[in-house]
This record gives sequence, structure tokens and C-alpha cells, in this order.
Amino acid sequence: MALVTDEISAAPKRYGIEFTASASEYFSIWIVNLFLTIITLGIYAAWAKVRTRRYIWANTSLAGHPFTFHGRPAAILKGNLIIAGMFLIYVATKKFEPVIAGALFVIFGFIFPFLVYKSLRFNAHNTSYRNIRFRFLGRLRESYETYLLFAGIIPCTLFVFFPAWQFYKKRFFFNNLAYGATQSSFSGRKGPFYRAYFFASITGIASFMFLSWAGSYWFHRLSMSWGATPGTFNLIYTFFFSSLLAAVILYTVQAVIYSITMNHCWSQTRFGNLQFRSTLTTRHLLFIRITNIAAIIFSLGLLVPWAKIRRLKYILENLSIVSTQDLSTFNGSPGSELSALGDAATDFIGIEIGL
Amino acid sequence: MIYFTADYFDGKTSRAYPVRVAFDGIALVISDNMQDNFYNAQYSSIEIDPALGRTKRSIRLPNGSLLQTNDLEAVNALETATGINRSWNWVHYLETRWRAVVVCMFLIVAALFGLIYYAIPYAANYAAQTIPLQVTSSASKQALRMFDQRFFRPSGLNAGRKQEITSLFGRTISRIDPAYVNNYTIVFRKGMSLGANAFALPSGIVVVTDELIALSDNDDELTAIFAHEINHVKRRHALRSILQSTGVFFLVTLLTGDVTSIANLASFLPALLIENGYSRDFERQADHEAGSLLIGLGKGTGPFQNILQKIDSSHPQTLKLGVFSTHPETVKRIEYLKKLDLASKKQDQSSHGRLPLKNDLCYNGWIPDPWIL
Repeated sequence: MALVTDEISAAPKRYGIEFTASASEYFSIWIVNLFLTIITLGIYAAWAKVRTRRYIWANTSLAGHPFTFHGRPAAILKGNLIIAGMFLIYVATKKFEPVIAGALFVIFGFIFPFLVYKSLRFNAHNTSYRNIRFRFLGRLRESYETYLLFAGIIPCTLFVFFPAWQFYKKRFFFNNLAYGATQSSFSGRKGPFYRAYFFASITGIASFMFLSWAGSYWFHRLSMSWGATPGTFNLIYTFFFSSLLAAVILYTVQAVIYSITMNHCWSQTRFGNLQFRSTLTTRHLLFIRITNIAAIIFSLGLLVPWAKIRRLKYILENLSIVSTQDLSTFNGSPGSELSALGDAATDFIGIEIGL
Repeated sequence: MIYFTADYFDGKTSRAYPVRVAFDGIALVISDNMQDNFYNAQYSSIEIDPALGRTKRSIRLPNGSLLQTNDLEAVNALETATGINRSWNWVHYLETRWRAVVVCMFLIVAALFGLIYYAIPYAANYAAQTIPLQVTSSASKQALRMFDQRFFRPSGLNAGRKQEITSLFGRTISRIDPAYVNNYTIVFRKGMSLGANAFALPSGIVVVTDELIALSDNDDELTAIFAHEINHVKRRHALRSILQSTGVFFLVTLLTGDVTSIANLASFLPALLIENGYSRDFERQADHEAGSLLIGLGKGTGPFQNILQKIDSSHPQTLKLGVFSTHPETVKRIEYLKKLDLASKKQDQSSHGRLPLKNDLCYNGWIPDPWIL
């Protein structure tokens, strides 16, 4: 096959992502959002989410131009109400009519892939760069395969299939995006996912052994110096220490998995002649996570916005774009209107897709 | 006239065209660098994304194109001149004034207190009164089965003693909840590792252990325990507790909805503390009602204090968890009962010794603690 290259665009050019959000500015947006959300008993949450997302996207820029979020609050409100309604019915029946609650849970399992599908479409369609909208072209069928069929067979394979499932979820996302008329392609493999989970388990076990040793040593020292006081101190200390231990191990494992899989996924994704580089490291992710949690706890939550901006800044500024095509030559494509149902749903459940 | 420079994106390609925009009071007149006017848009047909921090402003034009500009002042002037976003800019006004933000912070704290102390308990109480008690019956039976499998052995009491206690229980119900006598049943079990204990399941099943009966010296002490448990059922504490936890969960979701992953650890603890606080309120309410009943019978709260003390000392491993506990400390419960006694003596002898409850919206953990009532 003959290689046809445009002389002008042949030299690959690298563009970094710049994240300019300020913690103090975001703090005031966050406080006002919280206040209005609480006094409206949650109704304002949809508007709050739009403002937050608009702020984040508007401060994320590539080659001098920001991303723009276009989601409509009314659509998100509709999704929020449906999800809240389902949740309330579930809670109301859970304690007293476990059969109905169980049935609801199963029904939800069948709706979930649909919500993920809708959510991905909503988010992509409502994000633009230089007035060209993103799109998500994944099929509903693939969503059901990934989130119902594959998720369902994991326990049957004694969780050996789990990393592969994570891979299929990422592939569903990265392989089905489009920036205007330019579709993405994804050439990721399962190998790095298995490697990530293998490293994560090793790290998890090692940090568990080290931290338990360190913890029991310090506990011994403490109880010697305070005089042996079984009872309250003992129990509360044990409770706090074991949750701290669990949290640190969990964060370590998550940092390992996130850095390896995200770097891999971005590096294997391309939009035509445009490619990505992600240079996250486990060490930095873990450091940011642990210091963020500590800051949030010691500031009684006031540093939540600062922590969020800090983490996003690290992740986004480690992502760069390498393109042989001039960024101003991408073509748009006519889009279609979408509902926000899925968008709210995935946020409510707290699943993380994409970034 | 308002003038500003902007980037123009036509929506067909990702190319940015640097343009000059002029607003003459009717239309946005857009010209390129060569001063050639290539597009005009009536102001009534444009949309401006509301101001947000110091981010670039976006203006959507009717032909699907977009203007983005750093000239925040010019867009503000444009909004003032056209009235666009008039109903939205107050949010931005709040966000950009430190004083307003600080006021919002204080109002958030006040609103949280109001919700936690008044709105959630009040709403839960209201809802619990409208739900028929029967909805809890299958869950209660299941809970009892679980306790039977895990902890209890069949009671070793003889039939005569059971009969006596059952009729004492019946008399206590008829004093507290005479209209619904048939809702209640008493169940005898050997407590084993749970020791001297009693608890009520929401449908009205009250479980007493042989150990507790052995620990009691007279019927009044048992009456006190029964009155406490019957009041849990009568006041729908179990249902209210579930509804209140749901409310707390909803509140936590509202507060942390913004940060999906970071705050999980930090939000768990406050929720636990609030729920245990509700639980202690319910215990206090049940204690109050049981104490008042004993005073009304002319016995004083002495028997109740005695049995509480005995139960406490029969559980040597009981921990003083303070704010982490679902029940108030035994010392404090006894102290409260003593106060109740004193107050009733001060009152006119003809009164029933029924004191106004400080907080009638108090609450309870429906799976009881393994220690104490």
C-alpha cells in the first residue's frame, strides 16, 4: 500500500493539555452549589453538576482552546429524579420485603448497561472542542455484552476474568468515540490489564504485610507508654487503624491499576492521525491520593475542591496529544439530541468511566 | 456600541477564526481581520453560556457557530444591554463575592443542623406513623430466625414461670398500648453469649433471655424492661430508624455528589455518628416512657435503675464507646431516671408523673446491640 502523506502535516507535533482551574475559584463555586443543593433538597444538584462540569472543561485547554460542556440541567434533573425514585423504592422495600428489593436489584442489573450506554452518549455529545462535538458510537448490544454478560460470568471464572472485563469496559469506551467526523480506533490488549492486576495484588499483599507489622509495632509502643488500657482506647484505635490500613492498601492497589491501564489505553487510542501519550506514575497518584484524603479529613471537608482540582491537574497535564494532522483541520458531523438519564445514573452509582 | 475580539468556530471544521465583534444594540456584527463583515446575528437569537469563574465566555449563534472570548467585561456589558441570562447571573454574583461564600458556608452548617436535628426525625416520624406495622412482620420473623441460629438456645424456663411472666407482660402492654394489645408477643430464649438481654423486633415480638429473668429480683424490674421494649414498638422506633438512616444517606449523597471517589472514607464516619446519635435518642425516649410508667404506678424508677445496673455488671466487657455507641452509657441512663424521680416528687402528687419530653422526636437501632436491652 502506498503511503500517502501530506507534506505539511507529516511532521508529528506534540500538544500538552493545560489545566487552569484554580482551587479558590472552584471552592466558591462548590460552596454555592452545595448551599443551593441542600436548600432545594437536591433539585439544584442538576444545575450544580452542569456548572461544575462546565468549569472543569472550560479550564481544560489544548493548543490554547478550551473544551466546552453543553449538558442541559433539565435533562440531568430528569435522570436524577428517576434514579432517586428507584433508590427510594429499593430502600423502602429492602428491610421489610427482601423479595421485592431483590427483584428490583435484578431489574436494575438489566437496566444498568442501558444507563451506561446513555451516559457515554450524553457525555460525549455534550462535550465539544473548537465547536466540534464528540460522539459516542458504541452499540447498545455491546454495552449489554460488556456490563451484563461479561460481568455476569466473572464469578464463574473465579475472578480470573476480572482484568479482561476491565479491558472490555475500556475498549467499549475508547474504541467507540468520535471527534466530529473522525472516529477513534483502539488497539489495546488484555496483557497490560493482567499485568496491572498482578502488580496490584503483589503490591497490595506487600503493603498489607509491611503496614500490619508497622502498625502492631507502634500499637505495642503506644500501649506500653500509656499503660495497658484495654477497652475503649483499644477498640477505637483498632477500628481507626484497620480502616486506615484498608484505605492505604486500597489506594495503593487503585493507583497501580489506574496508572498502568490508563497509560496503556491512551497510548493505544487514535483519532485518525492523532495519538495520545499518558505519563501517569503510580507513585505520584498514590501520593496525591493519600495527601488529598488527609487534607480533606483535617480540614473537615473544606479542602475537597482543592483536592479534586489537584488530582485532575495531575491526570490531565500528564496527557498529551501527538498529531501529524493540524488540529484545526478536523471536520464536524451532524449530531443528534440525547437524554441525560444515563448521565445522572452513572454519577449516582459512582462508577467511573473514561478519565 | 460594544466591541470585542473573539475566536469564531463555524462548527464545520475545528478551525479558529480570529474575529472582531461589534454590538450595535440590535445585532452582533462579526467581521474578520480584513474588516469584512461576514455574519450578523440578532441578539434575540443568540445564547450566552452564563458566566462561570474567569473562564472564557461562549456565545452560541443561530447558524450553529460559536464565539469564544476572553473579554469578560464586554460580554458582561452585552448581557446587561440585552437582558440575556438576567435570571442566572445572581449565582455568579454569589460565587465571586467572598462575603457571600462565607455566608453560604454558615447557612450550609445551619441547614445541616436543621435537617439532622429536626427535618429528618420529624419527616421519619410522620412517615412511620402512616405505615402499617404489619409490613415489618416478615422481616421481624426473619431477624428472630437469624438470632435463633446464631446465638440463642431454647429457653429452660418451666411452663408456670413462663405463664407468670407472659401475664405480667400482658398487663404492661395494657398500660402502655391498650388499643393494640394483640400486636405484641413475648418470646423466651436462652441468651448464651448474649447473656442477660431483651430486645424488641419492630412487629411487636419482644425477646427476653432466661439470664435476664434470673437476674431480676421482682416483677417491677421486669415491668421496667418490658415497658422500655414496648415503647420501642409503640413509637415505631425501628421504622423511624430505617427512614432516618435513609435520610442521612440521602444527605451524604447530596454533600459528596460532587466528589465521587475521594470523600468516601470521610463521609462514612459522620453518617455513623449521626445514626448512632438518633439511636441514643430513641433509647432515651424509651427510658423516659418506662420510667414515667413506673412512677405512675407509684414504684419510682428504682427498679429500673437496679435492673440496668445489674445488666451492666453482668456484661463485664461492655465498652464505653461514647459517641460511637447506639445506647447511652448506663451511668447516664440511671442518672436520667433519678432526675425523673426527683422531678415527679417536686410535682403535685395528683399528677401522673408524666413529664413533658424535651425532644419528642427522639428514635432506634433495630437490630439491638448484643449488650444491654
